[in-house]
Amino acid sequence: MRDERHLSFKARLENIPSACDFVAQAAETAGLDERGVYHCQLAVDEACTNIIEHGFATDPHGQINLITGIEGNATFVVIIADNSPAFNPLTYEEPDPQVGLEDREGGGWGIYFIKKLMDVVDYRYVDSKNMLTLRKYIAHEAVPVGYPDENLVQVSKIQLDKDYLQINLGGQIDSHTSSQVEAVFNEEITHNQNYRLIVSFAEVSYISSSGLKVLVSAWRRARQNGGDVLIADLQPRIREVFDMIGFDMMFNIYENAAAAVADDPIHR
Amino acid sequence: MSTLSIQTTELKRVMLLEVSGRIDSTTASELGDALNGVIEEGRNKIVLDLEKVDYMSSAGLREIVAALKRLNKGTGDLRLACPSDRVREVLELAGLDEIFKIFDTQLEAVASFT
Repeated sequence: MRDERHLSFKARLENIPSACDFVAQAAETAGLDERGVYHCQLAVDEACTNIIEHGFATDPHGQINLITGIEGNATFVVIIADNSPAFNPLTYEEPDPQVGLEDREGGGWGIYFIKKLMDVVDYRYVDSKNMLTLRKYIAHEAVPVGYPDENLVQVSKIQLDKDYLQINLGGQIDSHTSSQVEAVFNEEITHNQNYRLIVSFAEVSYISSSGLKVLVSAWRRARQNGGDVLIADLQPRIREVFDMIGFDMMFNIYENAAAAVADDPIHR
Repeated sequence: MSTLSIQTTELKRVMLLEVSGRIDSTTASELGDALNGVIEEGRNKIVLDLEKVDYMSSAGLREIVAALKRLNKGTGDLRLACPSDRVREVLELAGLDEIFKIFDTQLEAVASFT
């Protein structure tokens, strides 16, 4: 991670504005626009407020550590670590913005904002610490990979063995075609409850940021259900993009589908 | 140290609250107190001018939702004026643009109470 910055502060509400300033400065230096900077501030504010009001509710000596940095060229990262009791905010029930005034509850909106405003949110409990990692993509529009051609997207599926479904993607995955890919993931993950997917990129000529978002969302849902989305057959140009935006740190990436099956921890 | 200030002006039919600064978990209770104070005085038509609010977190939303709930039990209303793009985005994310009447200018918000 480049431009790594650290801030440690006492878990008190009055310290939140300066923590926000710290994050805003780092986000701005990383190249996020005004709106993106605001989103990062708000997400960090909400996360820290929850840690202080709930995690450290009975502990006046709590500490919060913030680490910011840039992964690759296009992902701003904020890690929020604290040693309050283990709590995964991502499992908290989301409030519904459609609910009318009378039935509105006060809670849960902070976490809801974090999920909506950040591109990837990840929680882990490591070494007796809550670690919430927020990622915001800096270059939001079309990551240039290869050259768009006239082929549309192609999707095919192969059931490899009882544990894995291989999904072969081909053509270009952009803002026009990503919804087709998303529909396939939704069908497999949500409907068929196939949580172990190998996605082969062998025939993919182009992927834009909307295609990448679909992939992250599938990955997140598979992980939430104890599965994974494994990536195989990345061509060098697409591999470069994965590395640039830090996907190489999130996804398990393999030479090909066979290697994915052989090396996946479930088989060891 | 507070970074929020609220100026209250009594108009003929409407109570106008002009807020400036940052509404977050440290300052939201000041906004809540100001709204409750006005409501307890029996003023139930309130305009909250957000033009100079550069930042609002969910703690602020909680206060305005609580005030609106209170006012809607009677015949009162809390209407919002001039939220910045960023604040408007947060209101929309929480679905509050469907619940609050939001106006682009203070004048329109005040005049909406006839």
